[in-house]
Amino acid sequence: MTQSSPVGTGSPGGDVAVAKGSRLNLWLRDALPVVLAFLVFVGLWQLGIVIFKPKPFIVPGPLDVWGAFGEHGASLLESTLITLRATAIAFILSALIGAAVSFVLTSVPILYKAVFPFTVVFQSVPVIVFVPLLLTWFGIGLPSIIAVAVIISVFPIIANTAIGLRSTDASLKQLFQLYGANPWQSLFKLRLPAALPYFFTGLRIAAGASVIGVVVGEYMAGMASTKGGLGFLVVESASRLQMAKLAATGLCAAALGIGFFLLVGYVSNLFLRSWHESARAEG
Amino acid sequence: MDGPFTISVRDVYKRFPDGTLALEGVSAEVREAEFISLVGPSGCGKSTLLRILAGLEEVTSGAAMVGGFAPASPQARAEMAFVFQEPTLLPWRTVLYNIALPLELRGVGTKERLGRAREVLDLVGLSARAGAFPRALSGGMKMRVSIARALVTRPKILLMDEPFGALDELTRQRLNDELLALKQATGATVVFVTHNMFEAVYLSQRILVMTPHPGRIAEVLEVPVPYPRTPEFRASETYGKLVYRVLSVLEGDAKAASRTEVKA
Repeated sequence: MTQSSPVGTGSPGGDVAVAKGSRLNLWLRDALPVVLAFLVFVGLWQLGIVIFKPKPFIVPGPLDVWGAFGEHGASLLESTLITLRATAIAFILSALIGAAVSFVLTSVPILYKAVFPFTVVFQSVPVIVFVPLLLTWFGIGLPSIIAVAVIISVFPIIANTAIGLRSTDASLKQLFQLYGANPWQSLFKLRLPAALPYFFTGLRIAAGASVIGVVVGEYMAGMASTKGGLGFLVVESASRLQMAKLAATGLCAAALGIGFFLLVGYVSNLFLRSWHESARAEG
Repeated sequence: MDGPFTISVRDVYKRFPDGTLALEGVSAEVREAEFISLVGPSGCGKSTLLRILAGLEEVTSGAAMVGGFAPASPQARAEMAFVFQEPTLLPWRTVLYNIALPLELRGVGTKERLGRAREVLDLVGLSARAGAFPRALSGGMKMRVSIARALVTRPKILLMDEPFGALDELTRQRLNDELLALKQATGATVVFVTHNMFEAVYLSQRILVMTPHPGRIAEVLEVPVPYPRTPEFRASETYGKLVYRVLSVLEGDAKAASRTEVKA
């Protein structure tokens, strides 16, 4: 049954068209300065190369970097995919561990008081300190790489989700109390949904952090075989003084990080815009 | 329906952990289907008294009973609803599902609870916004939804804690009239907390004027004007005299307080 609502019916088609047009304009207005700045930057860079003529292994020019994409395209793509796979695994692990740890910490107030400060201490230790330890535990290769990435990306998830789980509105808690809600109802109908936006904030930070973590992990704990991720390509191109390839590798890592961040942002937006249960049921 | 479902408060003291005496020897009776207001400045204990009736606070000494039961008992809770100062809606639920929440928490089946949610939504005149999310609603609409949610369990007692305090004057007056109509339609007992003496006189059959430090009932006023009340009531002599009476009780107390402060 579709109830016709007098509010907000109007002419949907026309509204959407107008909105789309203005959104394109907005996008152009926001994106144009960025594109221009990029072109100016690349232009100045190339100009400097033309004037000062540095050796390519000291400062590569934009054309060198462009060339590196062509020359090493296959290995860049392969490395990017390897890094992507490790990032995805590390991100999912971080999300699961982060959610579980923050839930346990906030469910037992004494535990939260006692343990939460240590998560901050742990987070402040530079990740390279853990690498020798991880290498003795997991050896060189994927498990160590993933462990490095998880160590970097799990804390923003824990910290944000814990805040979300602890900041449930006091009046809403009383409302549930007044209607005799049992602990499960309070958890699933109030605490968890209320913490969801905070969890997604943590995930968005973790998305970028896990790419960095994997590349750092590959750099320090990757294997020196023919197949390696972007971190391995960094080691390889640096040792061969292929600075153009190094820059291309950096751009691939950046693209991966931004892509991942946007993906998580998109999923989070999907969730928070339609606010689950209620949106599904009223169709 | 069983016997009368009344509220009684006997010699209630409430001292907070920080030592503040919020209520000192408060006694009152609320008759069935009565509209009673608790009026006074902040710190007079009016909200504390309401929260004691809701079972959200415990008395330090004395007794509060709702329908013969302790306020926090399941029997009392089953017959009461509380309207908070803020709308306290779940932002991830649509209007209809927010209203159905109390029934959902009590285990009422989906079909029945949505049906009853639609009924009360109709009662507050918001049927067209059933599928809207709270953030798309105005302050007045959100409060209507909050009231509809309170009514969905068909409570015998409605406890309201300054529900219209955050609304603009016109919206507040409109909601005052709607609340009176709802009270008439449902036959519920209403205990209404406000610091606004105009609102208290317009709505209530009886007013408990409360004064602070420590919180106690300074005077009980009857409003001898039958329902339904119309906006013209605001222009009447009775209305003006009653508002003035509340004001002079509160002002008299404030003057007395300032005198003792000077002496001390």
